[in-house]
Amino acid sequence: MSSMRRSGDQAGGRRWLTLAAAAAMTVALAACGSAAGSGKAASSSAKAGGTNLTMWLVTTGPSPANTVINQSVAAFEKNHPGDTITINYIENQSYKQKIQLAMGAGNPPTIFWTWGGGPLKQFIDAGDVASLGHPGYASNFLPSSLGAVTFDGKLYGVPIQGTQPVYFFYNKPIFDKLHLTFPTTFSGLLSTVATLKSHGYSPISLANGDQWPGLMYLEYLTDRIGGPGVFQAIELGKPDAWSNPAVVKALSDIQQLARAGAFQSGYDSLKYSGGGSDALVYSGKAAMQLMGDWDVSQMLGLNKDFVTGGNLGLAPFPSVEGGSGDPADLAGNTASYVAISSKASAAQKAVAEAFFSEVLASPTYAKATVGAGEVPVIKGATGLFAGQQLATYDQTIYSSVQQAPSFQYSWDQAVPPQEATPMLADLAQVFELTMTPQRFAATMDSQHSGA
Amino acid sequence: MALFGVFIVVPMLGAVALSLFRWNGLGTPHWAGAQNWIQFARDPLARQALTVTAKVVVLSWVLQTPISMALGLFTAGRQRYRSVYAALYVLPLLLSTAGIALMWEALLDPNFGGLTALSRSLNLGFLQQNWLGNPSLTLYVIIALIAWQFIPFHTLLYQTGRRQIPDVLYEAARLDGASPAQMFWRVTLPQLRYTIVTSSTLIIVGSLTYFDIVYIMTNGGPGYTTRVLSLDMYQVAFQQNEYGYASVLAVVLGVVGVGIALGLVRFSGFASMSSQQEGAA
Amino acid sequence: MSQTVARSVRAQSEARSVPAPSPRRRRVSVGRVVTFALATVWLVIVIAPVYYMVLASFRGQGTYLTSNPWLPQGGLTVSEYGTVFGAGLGRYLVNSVILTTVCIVLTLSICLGAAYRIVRRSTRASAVSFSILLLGLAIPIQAIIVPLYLLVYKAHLYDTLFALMLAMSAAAIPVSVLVMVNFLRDIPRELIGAMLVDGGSEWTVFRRLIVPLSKPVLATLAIYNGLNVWNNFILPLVLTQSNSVAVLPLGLTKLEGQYAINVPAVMAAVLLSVLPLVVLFVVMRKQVMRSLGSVVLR
Repeated sequence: MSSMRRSGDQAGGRRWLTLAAAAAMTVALAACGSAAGSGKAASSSAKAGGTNLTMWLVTTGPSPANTVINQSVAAFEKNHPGDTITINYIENQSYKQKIQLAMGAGNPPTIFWTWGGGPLKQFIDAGDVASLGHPGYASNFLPSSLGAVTFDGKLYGVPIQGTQPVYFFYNKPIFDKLHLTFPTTFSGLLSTVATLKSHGYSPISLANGDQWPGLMYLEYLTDRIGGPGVFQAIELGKPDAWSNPAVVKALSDIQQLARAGAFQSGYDSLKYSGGGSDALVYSGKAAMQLMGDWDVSQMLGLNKDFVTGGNLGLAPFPSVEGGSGDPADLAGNTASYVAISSKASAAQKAVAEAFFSEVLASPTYAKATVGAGEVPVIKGATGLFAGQQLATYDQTIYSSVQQAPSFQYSWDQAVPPQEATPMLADLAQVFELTMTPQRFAATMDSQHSGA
Repeated sequence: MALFGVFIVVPMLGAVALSLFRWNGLGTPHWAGAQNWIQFARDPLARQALTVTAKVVVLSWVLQTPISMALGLFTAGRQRYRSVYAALYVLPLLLSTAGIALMWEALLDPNFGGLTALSRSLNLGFLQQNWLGNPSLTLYVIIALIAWQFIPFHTLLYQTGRRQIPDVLYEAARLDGASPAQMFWRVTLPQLRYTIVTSSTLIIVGSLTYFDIVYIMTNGGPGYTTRVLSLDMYQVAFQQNEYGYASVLAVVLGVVGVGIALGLVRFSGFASMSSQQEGAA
Repeated sequence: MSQTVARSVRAQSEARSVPAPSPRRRRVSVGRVVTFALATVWLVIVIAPVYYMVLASFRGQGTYLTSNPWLPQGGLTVSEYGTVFGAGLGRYLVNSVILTTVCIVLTLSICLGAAYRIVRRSTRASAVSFSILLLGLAIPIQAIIVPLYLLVYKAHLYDTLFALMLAMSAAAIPVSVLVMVNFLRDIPRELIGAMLVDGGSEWTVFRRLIVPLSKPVLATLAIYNGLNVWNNFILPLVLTQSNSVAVLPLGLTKLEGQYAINVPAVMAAVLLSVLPLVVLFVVMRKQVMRSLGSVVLR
């Protein structure tokens, strides 16, 4: 018995030692971490006589875009001594939940990120967003980019991140090897798919585990077949808008692609966020991917040589024979924006608007974002691309945006939230061939009338 | 008790109240009476979610209990190597759910994943599957992953439970000439009764409300095949902004869970606070 | 009685070191081999993914998928560890440690007392409160998130670690009480009765008998609750906002870009955050084994 106790004490001594080691390790990690990390967020101490604002953004992750924003805010604060803007970066998925809660409880940030469209309208209707009226700096932006944040003729938001239209990005070496040019019609796409498949490639890389990549196909096909009016009706909630033949045909075309084995194996569970769908393209397993233009900077980060070596091709979505839509139409995010909450004080609003006009609407900021891989939506941006790493892509994208007769906003941002979730989930089932186009249309239409 | 009351009971009552309203989180709630409840009764998605949840609960128990018990008994043994194993077994518990989800996602990728690589080098074709995208497979994969994450904990429970059984009982059984199998059924299992009940209650109730891995890995997909009730509730509330209806789901979840918990307690004679070891001396 | 116990225990350990008579031996060995094999299979199932995780953490974002998942070839790098530190992991780690420690202490102290009381008193009131506690087991966090948020906000506790401590401790109470009641019930009434007869009060019984005996359960519950608090994502997400109060799971999400997740960096962060836990766990296990030994040999 006594021998037990003695060894127990020894063990106890050792125990304290290990506890101390654990504590020391934690402290060491903390020291490393906070020393390196403390420079990141904007300063938060308030000086007397100044106004403090909070800004919630979604661009998390150590990225060039964040650096640009942080630096711009710091510069702004220097020019406005006493005023501070504290930035909180919140991850994309959780952001929507958080902002919803914050608005509902009356505790919103001064400036908040928004994608415009239906969700922003909900906030506006609830009286949570400050109107910006018709400010002078608005004329700095491309008119088409402000559509998503203009309601009843009044402006409610300002672009903070560039335009993000959706294109086909393809692996040029594969196409060159098989002597293919990128198809410009849907039937051309089908035969390209067949050729690629016969040579052992996955024709199209699709990350439908996230569900929104599949939506891009529906957006483009509907537009190519029936023109932009089809979706406008859906957006406005017109009855039977989903049952428009253009939508049904688009869905059938999607299923045709799926049946032809155009998508790689596992396409319904692969996520874009892990870089898997990009990896398929740059590793030469898949030949193309329909994706927003952020993919260019993504790819650059993942496999620099692939992009700088000129291997990444960009092509618009093919036209559909017999369709009435203009092949130059675009779909995607016209831009990403920030808006001011109505709970902001007059002083805060003034500072926020100063930030908008001095920073966000300025060519300096735009140029910085180009360096970070974005395509800004201010007028006359062409001159900013010269000499940048992704210059050719930037110019192509910018021109196509300038020339697009219509730029459709991503549907999952444009429709009311109640519809967005079932739309994505049901569409995924269409892709998996477990739901018919007619069923999809009927379900979506009944959502409308039910709500 | 007061702490519990304030932070748990009050919000729950709030949820019950909310279920009677229709609210999108902004502005003021509109009184909707029983409308949300009727919607629930008619909603095929809700029924699907219930079925999925039921499968998760039942299969989780079926999968986790025998394995945890076996492992718990194994690690309760006194051989040296067993304690090394026991220490390593705990690893999944220590990892954060986000890490676990990402890790398995990458492993199960049909194009790049570890299992696929293995299937190629070992020529085991069946290892290359669309694990997370095949509607008939995904739910079971998720259940298996949840088990992977939690078996270590229940192993600990059974290990502790086994260690608590006095050796006297085994000695007596041995003297009576019992075989190892008989010792298991006549001594171990009955003595573990309360551990089994505790562990089972935790598994059942835990899997009723389990959310994290499903949310991160499949978000209810493919289609709706992995959409458990707690995920359904989350999406309805925070993605569709219908807090009233979501509260209905919350209340249902709560009631079912409570019912099961109480049932288990009553069934195992929990209410009588008697000791299992009475008369052992 | 204790003499007999000691003798039989000694006999048992002797019996184990001496092989059993021949006809039994072969059967036992086969059993042992099978056991060992199965246990090793499970070990592989547990370790392999973790090994994968370690390997992935040493790769870059663009190569972790395309390199062979099982072999350490193809350019290993520590760049993602650098990313992790640059993202301010340290602060989140410290916050998580504080939060977890406080919650464990709070929960266990409340629950042990409550559980003991429930076991000792068979009054109507204690049975009712026990049932109410069990109710709490089944209430999902998502259900009460919105009302909870409002509650915290109105109490001016929004964006504080304190609010998290209260909420998480409260959430942990039902489970802990359940497990403790289960455990305490097995302590023979005679022992308690003996102490009381010897002139001790209920409080003495509690301090001298119950607390030491409960160490294994306390350790297990500390682990379980600690892990839940450590990993909890949704409560910090909803109830906090600033970086200074963020905990580790939230911090991990900051490694996610707007569209893509830096998977190797997340792996690195998760592994780093596991290190203090591992050390802690090793410590607790020794504690558990020690006290278990003392219980059995009584």
